[in-house]
Amino acid sequence: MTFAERLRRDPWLLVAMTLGVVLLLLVLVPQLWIVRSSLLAADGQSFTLDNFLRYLTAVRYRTALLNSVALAIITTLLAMVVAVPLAFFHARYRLPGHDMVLTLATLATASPPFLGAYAWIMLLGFNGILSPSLRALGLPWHSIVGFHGIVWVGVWGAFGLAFLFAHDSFASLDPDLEEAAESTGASRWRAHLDIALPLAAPGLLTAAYLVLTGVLADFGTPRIIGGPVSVLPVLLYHEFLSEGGVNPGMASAGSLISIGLATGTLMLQRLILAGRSYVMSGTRRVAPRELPRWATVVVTGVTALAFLIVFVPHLVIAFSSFLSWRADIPGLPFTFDNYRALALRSSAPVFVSYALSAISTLIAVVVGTLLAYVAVRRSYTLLSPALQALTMIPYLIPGTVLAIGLIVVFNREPIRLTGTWMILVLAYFIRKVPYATKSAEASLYQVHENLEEAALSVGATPAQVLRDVTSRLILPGLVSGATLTFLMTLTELSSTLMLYGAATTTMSIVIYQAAMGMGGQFGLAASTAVVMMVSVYVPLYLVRKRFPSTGVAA
Amino acid sequence: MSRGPVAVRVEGLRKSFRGDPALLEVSLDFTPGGFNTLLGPSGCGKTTLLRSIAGFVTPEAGRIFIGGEDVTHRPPWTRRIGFVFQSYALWPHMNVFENVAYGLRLRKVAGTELERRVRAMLETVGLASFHDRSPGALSGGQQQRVALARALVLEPDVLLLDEPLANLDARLRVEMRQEIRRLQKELQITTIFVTHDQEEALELSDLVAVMSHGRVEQVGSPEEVYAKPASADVAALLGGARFLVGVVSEEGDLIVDGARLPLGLSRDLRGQRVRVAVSPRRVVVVAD
Repeated sequence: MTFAERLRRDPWLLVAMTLGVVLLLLVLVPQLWIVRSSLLAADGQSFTLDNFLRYLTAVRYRTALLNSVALAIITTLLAMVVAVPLAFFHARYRLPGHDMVLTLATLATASPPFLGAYAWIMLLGFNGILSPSLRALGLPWHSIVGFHGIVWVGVWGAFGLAFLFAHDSFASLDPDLEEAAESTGASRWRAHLDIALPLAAPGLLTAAYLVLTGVLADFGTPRIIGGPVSVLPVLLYHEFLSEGGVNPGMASAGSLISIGLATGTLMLQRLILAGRSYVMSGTRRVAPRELPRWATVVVTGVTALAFLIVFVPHLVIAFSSFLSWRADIPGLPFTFDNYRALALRSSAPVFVSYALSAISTLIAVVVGTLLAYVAVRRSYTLLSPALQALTMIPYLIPGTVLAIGLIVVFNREPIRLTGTWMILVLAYFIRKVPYATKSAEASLYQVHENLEEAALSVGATPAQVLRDVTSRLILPGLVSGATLTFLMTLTELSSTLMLYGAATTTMSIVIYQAAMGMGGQFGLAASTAVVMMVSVYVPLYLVRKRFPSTGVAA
Repeated sequence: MSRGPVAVRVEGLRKSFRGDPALLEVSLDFTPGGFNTLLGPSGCGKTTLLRSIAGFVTPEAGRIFIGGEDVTHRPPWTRRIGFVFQSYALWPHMNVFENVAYGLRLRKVAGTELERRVRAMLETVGLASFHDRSPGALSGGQQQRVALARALVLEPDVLLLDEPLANLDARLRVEMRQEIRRLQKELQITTIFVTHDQEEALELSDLVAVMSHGRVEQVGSPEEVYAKPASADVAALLGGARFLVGVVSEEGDLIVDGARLPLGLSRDLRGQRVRVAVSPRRVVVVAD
């Protein structure tokens, strides 16, 4: 069979090849430039490993690296310690407000971390709202800014995700297994510890992995609330962008170390999980048991407290958006001035955010759907594994690193994109294409291949099959996936900060600047943040109502 | 059906999935306008053969002819086939009428012509009043009728049926197979029917091809394959035969564990070790 005949029989081959070339250029080439730049000596001619060695020897770099790792581990452990027991009780016992708890946890997963950092500074910073009261009580309180602040914000930022994953792991256990243990004479708590915990371990590990990589890649939280504490993403930002100290070689080496950490964590997770995924035989859902009354009260109270802490930042920001701001001092009376100013003078960032997110989401969903189709329905010898790898690479690239790669490649003729809206769309698209693909794959697995073959048999071309059958059947899944992608891009900060220009200032930039004490537009930033929260939570709430299994972390 | 019955032929088809052979040099001439059955146990390659003829599967070697034309490298949507799936595969986002009409719409049939042909076909399969139902609201038998209508409304060259009765309950299965046979006779359309049920094969077919391990073991009329199975596999498939294993004596008797069965076997088999298939209706000897 000639190649032309093959293409005629299977036009998807052409689609797959095109996708391969596009991803190669957009995803792999920038990373390869980073590799090159990291190995280039200061003279720009010879190659050297010095840049990598300096990360291990020079204090400035080593500290950032160690801080990143320490922060990730501590934050993950604490988040799991807080979330797992609560999730266990909600999965296995009848507790009030179960559905609301799950909804709140889902909403919490979409909360942009930098909002939390900003709000906690407002509350507990050196000049924070609550700090004087703490000192008046005689507590030696200084400020939330520092290592402890990054941990605090990180733990509560990760709480929703850890809670949801742990809840699912416990809820999907076959109750017969524990009852079987109890029948052999194990006490209920023995059964929980010996049976439920090990069986849920793979799910818990996945949750821990997601939290860990999230913290490792997070730029906003450490930048805003870290003060003098240096971590890898922040260091990269400074190395690459700060005036005077531009050092692309070190930034590139650091980028590769970041990707290396993410890849290493992924491999570690795979290694631990290998051979540990148990097939649950039972389809029976766990029938929730009753807790003693006092325990119900305690667990419900702790849950309420946890979610209060999670959502305190939002309440603080919403509250402050109705205050009169004089420079950085909020005060009474309550006012709508901040919203009036937003609507009349400073609505551009809202539109910019919406437009950038909408365009990049559209592209990510279209490309992700095509990628998913090839992944689910075709198995090309070389192309399929290559596409799968290219699709997942962005998942391992922190936003800061991705931005560096794009700047390195697209800041010269013939393709000069730096400073334009296109480079932001490109960055958002690349970052979210793995999520869009995974979501479309999940929907496609629900569509039996026979439905497509039936259309082929009545004379529909593959394009017509996609248009008339496949896309119609996966539409609900695509809508929910697109909503989540849109929300995630709406709150994107790390790559935005490196790529935006005056005309492409987004909501996240406005809030970031206020959080960094820059720009003096604190009231405006607060009202912008409220718009952002409403933009995120309302659609997410609606999607969750319609598709109850929705989770941002998918 | 202006073109008259269409001949379908395959030559030397080979196909494997990840190294597992599914078709090993399969060649077959199907009876034009007849009811042809591919019979065999699961994994014997019968469905792969059917899907190759449809174009869903690309064979590694060999040729496929429909109406004398080599369609081996033609994609399915150009092959003028009708395909009916075991799972019905009705599109859940279209109602019964739209499911049947879709292929006609792709061929730019519209308006009263479309309406007339779809309604006539629904009439033929006995579902005239179900046109605005959603597929999910139909019983299994009704869904399979819609699937048949969807395939037949296009007046295809060949009708391909992949175990279309397997998901139906026993009573419906008998009713549906008579229905399919009636439609096939009425339309004189070349039909290839895949099943693992020998009763279906024997009752419906003009031609039965018995398959096993990726090969066609025997081709013939139902009477032929039943009366003279060419191999032990064929005999086992037809009529649930039991086997006696022994050696043929000088006198043509079968010696099984020292017991002598006077079966009057052919003298050519003297001294050979044979398996004797004992079917409910006949006793058949095949070379072991």
